[in-house]
Amino acid sequence: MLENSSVNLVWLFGPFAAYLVMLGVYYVWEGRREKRLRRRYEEAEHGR
Amino acid sequence: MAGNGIAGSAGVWVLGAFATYLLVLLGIGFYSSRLMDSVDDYVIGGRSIGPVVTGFSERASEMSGWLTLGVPSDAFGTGVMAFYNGLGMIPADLFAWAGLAKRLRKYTEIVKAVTLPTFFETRLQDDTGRVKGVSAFVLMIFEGGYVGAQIVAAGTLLEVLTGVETLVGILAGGVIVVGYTILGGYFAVAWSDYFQGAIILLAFILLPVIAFANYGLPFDELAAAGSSYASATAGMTGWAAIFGIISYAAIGLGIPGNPHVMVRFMGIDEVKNIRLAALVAQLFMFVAYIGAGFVGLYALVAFGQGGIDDPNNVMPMLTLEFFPGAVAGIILAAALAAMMSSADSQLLVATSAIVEDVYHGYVNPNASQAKLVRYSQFVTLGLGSASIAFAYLARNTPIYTLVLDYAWGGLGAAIGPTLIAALWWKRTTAEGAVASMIVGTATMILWTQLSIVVDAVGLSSAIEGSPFLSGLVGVYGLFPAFVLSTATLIGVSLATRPPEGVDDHFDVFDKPLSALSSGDTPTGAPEYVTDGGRDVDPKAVTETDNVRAHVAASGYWEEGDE
Repeated sequence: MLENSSVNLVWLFGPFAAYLVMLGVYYVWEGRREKRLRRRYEEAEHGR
Repeated sequence: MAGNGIAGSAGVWVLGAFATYLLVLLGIGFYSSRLMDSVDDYVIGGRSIGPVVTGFSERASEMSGWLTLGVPSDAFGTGVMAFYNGLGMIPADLFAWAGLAKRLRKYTEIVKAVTLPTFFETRLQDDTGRVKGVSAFVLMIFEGGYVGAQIVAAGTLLEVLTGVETLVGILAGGVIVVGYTILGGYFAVAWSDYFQGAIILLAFILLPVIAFANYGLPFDELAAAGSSYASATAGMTGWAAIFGIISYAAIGLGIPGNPHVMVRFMGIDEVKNIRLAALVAQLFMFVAYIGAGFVGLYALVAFGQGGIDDPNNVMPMLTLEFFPGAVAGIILAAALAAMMSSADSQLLVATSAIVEDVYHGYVNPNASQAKLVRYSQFVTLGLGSASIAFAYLARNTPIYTLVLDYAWGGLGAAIGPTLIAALWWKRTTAEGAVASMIVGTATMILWTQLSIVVDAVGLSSAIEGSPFLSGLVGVYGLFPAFVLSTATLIGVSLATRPPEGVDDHFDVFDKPLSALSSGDTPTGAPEYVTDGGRDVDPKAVTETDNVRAHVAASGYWEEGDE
């Protein structure tokens, strides 16, 4: 386990590392969702 | 004048840097005032603020003196557990960007709502005015108190650093905040937040880096100073540790209820830019929270336990230790700026509660835009003056009690659950929202007095005997207030009749804005107004009709026919 001689760094900064991963997931996922949404409405538009 | 504060001869530099900085802000205010001609411009910048400015401004407006002075002082007193100040804030902010920002931005543009009370009224189809009235009242009180608290903090910092009288500090800070809010409205505020945010961020990167160069990692010194300083739970165990962590995490519950944060979501130029703004805001948070924590820890290493009498001076003292006068002056000006940036946003939100929600909504629905802008300026002046007076009266009250318990927490508990539910839960009713706001406000205020009540009824010894109960009584009040407010919202909403045609409202959330509005106007907003409180002839009756009419009139479905 990642540990400084006196402080458990995993407990301290583990949550921040997890939040950073969450941010990355959000950024990628949201971008894809936005693109999908626009494509769907463009298709609907051309389908008319 | 300067030289009596802890800054010593650097006091002149602090004042000089701050004066220059204020001149830049006033310049922004004057410049923006030339661009402003409608109340939408005044309150949410005509929805034309870009993603980077929005992201920075969302953070800077909310973090305030709490981040710049509070988190370092917490770290100085508590140790490494102070990093947990970000434990709830960072994911709660990400949740707000991911789950609330786009929905709020789309919906408020379509119904042309520029304030949360108007959004609530329209979404919940409340013809009685209760939702709008109660929410406007709640946010006028708490945001007004917030402004006063920030001005106290700015005045105190000026006094401590330079030796000027508290009254002078409070008056100077107050006049500047009110002045440039009146001149530039939201546009000035968002841009000045950007400017302030950049300085704060730089300070919280440079200070730990320089300290690291001098001392290396601080953890071994902290452990030598006391084992609790190096403990992730500050030496607490069992229930005390659990409630300690809950208290830190619960600070994040305030985000959805604080309108000066939510208004950033409504003001962004394009919906697709929300993703980038979120990234900017979140990265800002990581750097700022970890940097601010390290500032407090390095102060502990540099000055020793008890080496600083007033913990609020931790960040200023470390800055003066590491930087020459001129640079320290600029950095400390940023700390003052953080307080100002919060105060101006909050002043603007409180102003809109009065002018847009009360005056425009009830008193004079047909008021012209020019009149509303003028009245907004008068109200900002009036509220600002009241806040300065309040700041002077409350100058000896601990700033963080004022902010966390009566402003941040009050708004979070009263407005937060309703905002989330209005955007996500079709079954939400106006009655549920009103009940939730009342319960949230009351719980938040009463919880902070709980220890006094417990003492008065003679239960203190029983509570002290139980680790669970003493932990519960000492937990940050926003946690119970938010839970009770949410439970009330759900219970009352289920017991009352929901508004009709909610499915149509929710359709809006799942479509790109371009599918719902024309591209003729700069922000893509349609010409006609759908909000019941605005000057529409004939006045729109229900939101459902409006959304349907809106989609039909946008011409979106006709495009590509040829």
